[in-house]
Amino acid sequence: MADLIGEIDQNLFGGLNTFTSTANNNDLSDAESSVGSAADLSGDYEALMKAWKNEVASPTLLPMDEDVITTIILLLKNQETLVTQLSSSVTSPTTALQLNLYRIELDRTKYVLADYLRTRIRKIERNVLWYLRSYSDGFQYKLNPNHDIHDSESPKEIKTMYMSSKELKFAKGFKKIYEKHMFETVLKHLPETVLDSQPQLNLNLQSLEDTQMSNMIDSPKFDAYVLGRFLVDGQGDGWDDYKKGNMVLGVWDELREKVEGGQVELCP
Amino acid sequence: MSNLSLPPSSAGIGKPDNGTVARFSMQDFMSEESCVDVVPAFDCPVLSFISGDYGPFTAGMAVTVPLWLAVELRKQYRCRITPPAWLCEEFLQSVLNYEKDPLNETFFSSAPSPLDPSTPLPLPYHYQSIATVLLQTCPSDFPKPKSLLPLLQDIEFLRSSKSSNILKRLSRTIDGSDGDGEVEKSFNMRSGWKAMEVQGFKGVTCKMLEGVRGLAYGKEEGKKVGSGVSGGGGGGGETRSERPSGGRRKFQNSSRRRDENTESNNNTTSSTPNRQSQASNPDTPTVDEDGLEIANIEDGEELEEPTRQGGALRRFR
Repeated sequence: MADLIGEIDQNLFGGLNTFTSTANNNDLSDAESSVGSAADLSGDYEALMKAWKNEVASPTLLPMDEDVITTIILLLKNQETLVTQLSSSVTSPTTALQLNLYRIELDRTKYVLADYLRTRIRKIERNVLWYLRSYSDGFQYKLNPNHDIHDSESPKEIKTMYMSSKELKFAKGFKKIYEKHMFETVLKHLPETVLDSQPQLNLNLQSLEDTQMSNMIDSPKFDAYVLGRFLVDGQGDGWDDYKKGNMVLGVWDELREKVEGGQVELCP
Repeated sequence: MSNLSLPPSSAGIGKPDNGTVARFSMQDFMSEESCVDVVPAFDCPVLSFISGDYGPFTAGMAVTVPLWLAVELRKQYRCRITPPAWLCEEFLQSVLNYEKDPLNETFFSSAPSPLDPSTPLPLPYHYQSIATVLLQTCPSDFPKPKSLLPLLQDIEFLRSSKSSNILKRLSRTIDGSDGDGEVEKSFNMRSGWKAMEVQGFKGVTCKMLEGVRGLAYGKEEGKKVGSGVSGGGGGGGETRSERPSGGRRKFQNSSRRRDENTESNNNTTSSTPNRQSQASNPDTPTVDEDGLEIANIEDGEELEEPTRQGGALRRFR
């Protein structure tokens, strides 16, 4: 058991911590930070909590750091082994207490991880076709593609790979099922093609994909409003008024890059 | 086993959004990461959790642990929780004084800590959750627990009125029709907000802003289309809206007619503007054989709904 603990120690960033007082240690003081004031939470755990909070609050999929997730899963596995070993050798009330505390913490971390993954899956399910289509390199999307108000607004490029490889597999499988369902219920009753005098305007009514005439695929809501908090002073055009610690209620499309870059954290 | 319950899934799979309970319990869950000082009544070496190492625990020596750990230990009577520096009468009174002052439009930021007057201490982000949990679990660890709850409630009340003022000001600045149809994209809410207050307004305000934005864009598109369908609809709507009273009075008269079910007195009871032409001309029949009035439509006027429906629609007025 001792070497298991040693292994866990190696995985943690903190090591032995000596806490002094609750309020001093963060660059963002306890009042402003929504992550707790523990001075040295394990780096991976803190990354998980931050990713979870941002993912719950954001309307679209955020990039996933697969290393963090794999490390957390490894830590959870180790902890579970520890717990089963401890439970078979309970000697004193103190050991029973330890066991109890380990179990609670395990529950908490498992909940956060599961909720994080669940939220991502739900977002993928809502807009499968769009996310899969955007998976190709250099895909560009336009905010409000049906509103051509700001024609000067250049389409934004989504850098690829927001899904992990497992999520991608899930998305592809889900898309297959979804298409089959749509075909069986609705699409097979529609005529296959509607011919037009101009051949490029032929409609394929049985297709779920975009065609020239119709924009069948809904994009996720990039124009939703979110509430966030600045972790650093705002820079760049229009953001100068925002200081560290200021809350911002803004369009997600504007804040997305800042959240991904770590300058803004969302409030779930 | 665990007395601290986990919040419901935030994905809310298959369930309609009964968001309030789920969101508040999620804030409580997040607040449990905050640290408190604890004086254990037992001995234990360092405990290695996924979230970090805590300990070693020596009976009588203060240790800093996360809130969930502290509450769990306290429930088993294995420790005593040291009240956090901000959860005392003196500090909360200074917060209250600041919030009470009508000149202070912004939220309270920080006051000197009662333990160490040189360091400024802010009110924690999750102060409501933490205070609730601590006062419920271990009131006996506090010097004057009964005085704290009223203070906290007063603070919460004053802050909520301040936050609603801020939101009112915000809603006044939103104007979807300022020339170019642009709704402001982001609002600086300044700092000092706390967890539960944020929870309270976030859902509604965000949906409202999205709605305003949608309306602004819809109107923009309507203007752009111009002489098209939406323009025609807009023009027609305006014509109709110019004379709402005339139309409504017509319905009322026709409904009265149906009630009375008489064919007489059709010229004497009228007071509507478009009836005056008929009143001045008593020969024109205003009521046909069913007792329904014949609509007097002038050129170019939009035809109102047929008066036969006057009776049925009456109940919607």
